[in-house]
Parts: sequence; C-alpha cells; structure tokens
Amino acid sequence: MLVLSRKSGESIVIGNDIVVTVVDFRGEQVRLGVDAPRSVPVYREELYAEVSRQNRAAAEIDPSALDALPERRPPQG
Amino acid sequence: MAELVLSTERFGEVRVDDEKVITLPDGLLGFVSMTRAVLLPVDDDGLFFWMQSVDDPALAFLVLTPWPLFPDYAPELGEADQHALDLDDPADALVFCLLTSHDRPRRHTANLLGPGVVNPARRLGRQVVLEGDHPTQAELPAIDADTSS
Repeated sequence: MLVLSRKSGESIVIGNDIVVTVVDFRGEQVRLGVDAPRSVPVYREELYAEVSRQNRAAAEIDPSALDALPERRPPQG
Repeated sequence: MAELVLSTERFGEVRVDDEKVITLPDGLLGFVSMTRAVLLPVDDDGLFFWMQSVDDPALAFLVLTPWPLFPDYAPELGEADQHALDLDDPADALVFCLLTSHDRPRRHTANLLGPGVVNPARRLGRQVVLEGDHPTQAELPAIDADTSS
C-alpha cells in the first residue's frame, strides 16, 4: 500500500480527476473531502464490505425461499 | 420491441420484453458484472420480485418492495446517486431491497442499507449505500391481514 503523509488542507490526486483532501482532524477521526466525478461511487469501506457480504449471502437464495416467506398472503378465495 | 429469451438456472427459460431490461452500469456491490437485470414478479402483489441477471443464468436475487413491510423506511438518495440514475425527482425512483435466506430457524431478512434503486423511465438502476443507520438484515415483519388489500 502506498502511504503518504499529509497535513490538514493537503490533498492527494488519484488519476486525473479524483482529489482526496484532508479537511480536519478531530481526536481520532480524520475528515476527508473527496472530489470525484459523480459517476465514481465513493463508499465508506466498512459499509461497502457489509453490503457486498450481504449481497453474496443474498445470491444464495433459491426459489424454495418463497414457500418459507410467512409474509405471503394465502391465495384468496 | 423484441423478446429476450433467457436461460436461467432457477426458472428455466424466461421470455421478457427487451425493453424491460434494467441497466446497472456499476453492477451490484461485489457483483460488478451484473450490469443487466430483469425483474420477474413473483405474484400479483407487486411485493416480491426475482431480480435475474441477463448475462449470468445462475445469478438472481429475491427482492422486495420495502414499504408494505417497512412503512417507516425512508431512504435518502444522495446527489451523486440521483445524478447517476438521471433522476430529476427522487420520488420517481423504484426501490427494492435484497432478501437473504437464513436457516435454523428458516427466516428471511431484508437489506435496508443497500437498496437497489431504479429510474423506471430510463430503465437505469444501481445499488446505493445509504447514509444513516439502516440494517443489512432487517427481519421481515408479517403483513397484518386487516390492513393489506
């Protein structure tokens, strides 16, 4: 991993159009500003990982799942 | 309009109108190749759909229209997501939550943190990661038979 030292207010540039700026330090937290094209999604890593993991679990679902959904109303009539 | 014939692992051969294909330019998180999908209604309720990959016969997710079961769910679409979906008004968006099956006991949960959001006019979708405190495994509450219609 590339490790760079930055002061508050300093930035790094990724590619031609992504700029990450150290905005502020507060205690143990660093506030980062990300300037990226709107087509580039930016995520907090732990949320990205959590949703990815949940997606992988969700992809295991099979059609028999429907039989086990208690929320499905019984056929009318 | 043309008909698209998909061979799917779960549902066999599925015929869909190719105008129904939803384009997901970024795929889903962890499934970046899932860039084209169709929503196959499970029943007439409009509550559950299978989101089947067009390009991968084995890849499908069971998704849920959240509000009948989670009436307080209030996902806020960020500006970047709104722009990516080419949405003028976020109220036009369709929102789907992916379901996960669990064993012992057999139950299902909905991912409220990372819903699929679709601009129906453009057939354009993406999975968003919401700000705020939303669970990835929300237990599905039972529908109250008296209030559903």
